[in-house]
Amino acid sequence: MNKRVLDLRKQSIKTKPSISIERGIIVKQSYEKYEGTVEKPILRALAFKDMMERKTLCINDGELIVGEKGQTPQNAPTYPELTCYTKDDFEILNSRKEVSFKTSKQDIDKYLNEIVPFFDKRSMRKRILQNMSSQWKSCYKAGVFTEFMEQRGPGHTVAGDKIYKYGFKDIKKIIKKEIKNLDMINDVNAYSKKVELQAMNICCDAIITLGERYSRFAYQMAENTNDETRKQELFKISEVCKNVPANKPRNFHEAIQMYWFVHIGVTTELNIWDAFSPGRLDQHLIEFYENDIENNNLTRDEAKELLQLLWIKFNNQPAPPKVGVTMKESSTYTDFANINTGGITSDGKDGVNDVSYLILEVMDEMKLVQPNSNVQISRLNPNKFIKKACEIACKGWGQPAFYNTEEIISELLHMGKSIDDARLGGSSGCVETGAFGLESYILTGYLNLSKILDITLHNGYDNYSKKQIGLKTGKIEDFKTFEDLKNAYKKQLNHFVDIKIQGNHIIEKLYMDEMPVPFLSCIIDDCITNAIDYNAGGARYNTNYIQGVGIGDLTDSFSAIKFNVFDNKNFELKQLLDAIDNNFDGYEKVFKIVNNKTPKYGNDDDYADNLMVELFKMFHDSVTGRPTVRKGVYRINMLPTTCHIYFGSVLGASPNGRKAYQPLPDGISPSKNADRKGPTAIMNSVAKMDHVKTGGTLLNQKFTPDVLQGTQGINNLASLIKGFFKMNCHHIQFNVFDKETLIDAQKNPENYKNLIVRVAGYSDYFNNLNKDLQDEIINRTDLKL
Amino acid sequence: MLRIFDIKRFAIHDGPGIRTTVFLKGCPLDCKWCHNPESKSYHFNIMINSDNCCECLDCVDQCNNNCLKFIDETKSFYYQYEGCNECKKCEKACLNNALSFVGNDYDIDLLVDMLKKDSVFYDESNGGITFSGGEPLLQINSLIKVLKRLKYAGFSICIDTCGYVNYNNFIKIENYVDIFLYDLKFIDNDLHKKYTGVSNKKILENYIKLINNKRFNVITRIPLIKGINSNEINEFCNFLKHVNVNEIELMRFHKMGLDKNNRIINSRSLIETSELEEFEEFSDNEFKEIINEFENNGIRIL
Repeated sequence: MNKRVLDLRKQSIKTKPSISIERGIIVKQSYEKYEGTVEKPILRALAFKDMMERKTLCINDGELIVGEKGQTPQNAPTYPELTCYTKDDFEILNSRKEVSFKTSKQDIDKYLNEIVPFFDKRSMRKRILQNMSSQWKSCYKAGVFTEFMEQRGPGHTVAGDKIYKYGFKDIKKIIKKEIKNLDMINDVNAYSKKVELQAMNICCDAIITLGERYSRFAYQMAENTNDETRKQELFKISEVCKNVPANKPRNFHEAIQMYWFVHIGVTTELNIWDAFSPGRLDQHLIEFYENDIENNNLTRDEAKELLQLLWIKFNNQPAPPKVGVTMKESSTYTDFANINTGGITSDGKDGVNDVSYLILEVMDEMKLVQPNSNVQISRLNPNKFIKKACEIACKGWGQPAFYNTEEIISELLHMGKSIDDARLGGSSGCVETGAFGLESYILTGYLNLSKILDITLHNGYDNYSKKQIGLKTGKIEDFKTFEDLKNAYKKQLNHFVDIKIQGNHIIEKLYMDEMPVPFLSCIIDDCITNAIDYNAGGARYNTNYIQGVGIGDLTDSFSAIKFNVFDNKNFELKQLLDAIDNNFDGYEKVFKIVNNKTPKYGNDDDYADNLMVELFKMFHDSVTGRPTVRKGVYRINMLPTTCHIYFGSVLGASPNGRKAYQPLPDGISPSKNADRKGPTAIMNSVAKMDHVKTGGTLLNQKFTPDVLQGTQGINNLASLIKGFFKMNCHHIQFNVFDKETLIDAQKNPENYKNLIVRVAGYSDYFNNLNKDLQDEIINRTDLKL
Repeated sequence: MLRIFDIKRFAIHDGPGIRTTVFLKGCPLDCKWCHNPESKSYHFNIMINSDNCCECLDCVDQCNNNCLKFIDETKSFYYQYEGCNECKKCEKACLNNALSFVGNDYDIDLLVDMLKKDSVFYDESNGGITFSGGEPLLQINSLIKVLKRLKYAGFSICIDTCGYVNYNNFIKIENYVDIFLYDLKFIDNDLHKKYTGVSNKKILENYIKLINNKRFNVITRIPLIKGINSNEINEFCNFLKHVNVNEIELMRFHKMGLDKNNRIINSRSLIETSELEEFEEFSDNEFKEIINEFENNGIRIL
């Protein structure tokens, strides 16, 4: 890392997040000027144009890739047309323990006095909540499900290769041609199409303007500096921004800047989830890289520096803070820009190239939370690539995550994508599968699978919100067989999915009508040729996801009931219900039986794992294939982000011994302390799930550093990953225990029952060792990190 | 039927790649530092982790054969394997998981199925299955049946042996084993007797025969215990040079396993806790020096 990169990285990390009201003011003025006089897409396009024309420009010292979403690094814009902050929100955001956002008093006043009165009733959040049924609201408040779109747009998507082949002047030509070709007589939708295309055209002009402004701005800065080196750099920036985004990029530097302008455009147009990313960056950049290197326009080090600067750009953008339940369930404040490296090419060959290795080096050296880098591992990739990725993963800070290319392609094909489109796809956000550049795949909300069992056991009553929100599927005395209970659960599950989807239909329609995104529609095919907005179903593929949370907890709870109540008659269901209602207080024996003497998911034990397979299928069948308003279909994925903590916090004790309000297991990971047979057993258990029928699953694995030590450790990790992927699994990521964790494990052994440490020629559970030996290991661990 | 006390999946230090290690019960040696003391006796044992034991004595109540008792005077458990029918009700009754029943007579079909479960990982890592112990070759007749099944199914097999067995046992399984992990503890016979309870004559004879037999692939391993055999490096080197072995694995001693001694109810070994405390661990530097000493003598450490 050179000094330039070091300094900018430091700035990115050290700068405290803040909120900018600039965008809010501009969008308000645009609405005042145009609302009611033009069609919605045009209104949104004109607002976007105003933003691009008036937005504060920012070129930080030393940087070569330019553009910030806010006015400065770590400055999050406001999106009042989606949701308005209250005075309390500002105070909480300013003072809370987690990532805090500062806003000046002057800005808060201006925001509350000028922006809020205008947008409050207009905001999507208000309109959505107004239109939700009381049933929906009860479930939402009870924490049965969450809703993504009540304060963020339905934007989950990733850029494809279009922007490296066409400049926005070229895209304008395509749009104009489509307008010309409209059949205004026989096509009854031609007018809406024309309006949408006109809106896209305005957006192209808008982003071109932003580029021109940066070009002029850099030129002025160059003229005003005495530092000769910086002067030349600024002239270079000016030249780059003169060409992109108006025209297609001519070289590596311009290609990166092109993407970054598009990123700024897409994420400024609307707060569209936080997952927009360049996707298959190594595939997009390789031609530029090879050309530049061949013509001596670029050295490898310069290419690496530009990538590092792009990494800093990602890290400079905090996700706009959320409010209410959404803040609680998603306490994270980073974006989810997930860059896919490796995989295969569009013609089905090994996709690893020089840029892939450059990206791995950048990831390793930069150690930034954003972008969230991952590798796609295909059986066609060379071992060298996998091992290099493992080498970085062994350092134990969670990156890169590993994705299974063949599985992603199978998932996409299963959803009906063409093989060509599938090969260019990948995983974005956390683990969500999509056809990059071609698909709108929206996460609509998490579903609390464990809570639905709790509600089933209480005959539809929710203990947390003290309300009858489920169906009356029978008292527990009515469950004569295990089948009876499963059937009741199934009914409740379908009931809640029905409620969720009824709400989704309304929200989707509101976004179709009220919040078109004509700029994003220029980027994602086939919005232009369909002349339909991205939010209205214009993309080639449209998918809505519902994310199941807590399958590990749910499985173990069903196992606890089947094993102890029906198969072995250790106790009555009534007794277990009393136990969970009392958080196991006074039910010590039941607690120990369900904890210590009951089969659990994650141990390659078919008793529990078969239940997981069945429960997964139940969830899949209740969601998959239902139609969406945008003429897509619903599908599931199994990922939690941070929602497993929120969902646990609104749920009493679980039949498997999970205490009240404790987190649910994340993704498809086993319950805390449930797995006792090591990583291969977990992987075998997890592999029993039919991953191909999801749009992504998430598995976290933890290791102590010594397991991953040295060449042997890297080889072992690579073998684990390859074996896991051979069994058709989607994703895995690794964490390495640090000293602090071990100290905590010593203090709170009950939380670390499954922590395995390597002792000498063998491994043992940390809890099994006496204090002296634990100390020994703690000290050893420190040495190795 | 094989008598096993543990099966460890994702074993990464018992031969090449990712393996499953099967620990067989029973050992002819009685090494004082043994980190698997529950392996020593062929008979069943019961281990109690007193930190977790609430002395509810549900385990004792469950024992129909009166093999498990609690002696009130000494506040300690007593277990006799004679008469024990391996029902494991005691273990099932222990809701705290404080009591473990050590020893499991595995049906061979069941064992083979179980060992095949991680095939995909063996395959990716060139790993396989390791039989360790105890001394696996003590149960040679059943072991052969298992090895045959696994070898015919294409698995890589390692045998971790102390060598104190009839040489004929090696010949019997030669076609089904890829690698022998052969442990040497002392070259000096008196020290060997003192610390392991038996003479090393047979061990060294078998060793020499094995390494001179081209059909066998042998990896020599030395468990190195500070102050016990760590002063014998010269003897090891001279011996190894004499038999033309120039690479070995060193297993660095850690105290961790010793703790288990206290948990075994009336174990066969008469090692006193005080004696165990004499064992010390190497510092990183000390261990490095030892590696150097071997390497200076032309013995490569794997």
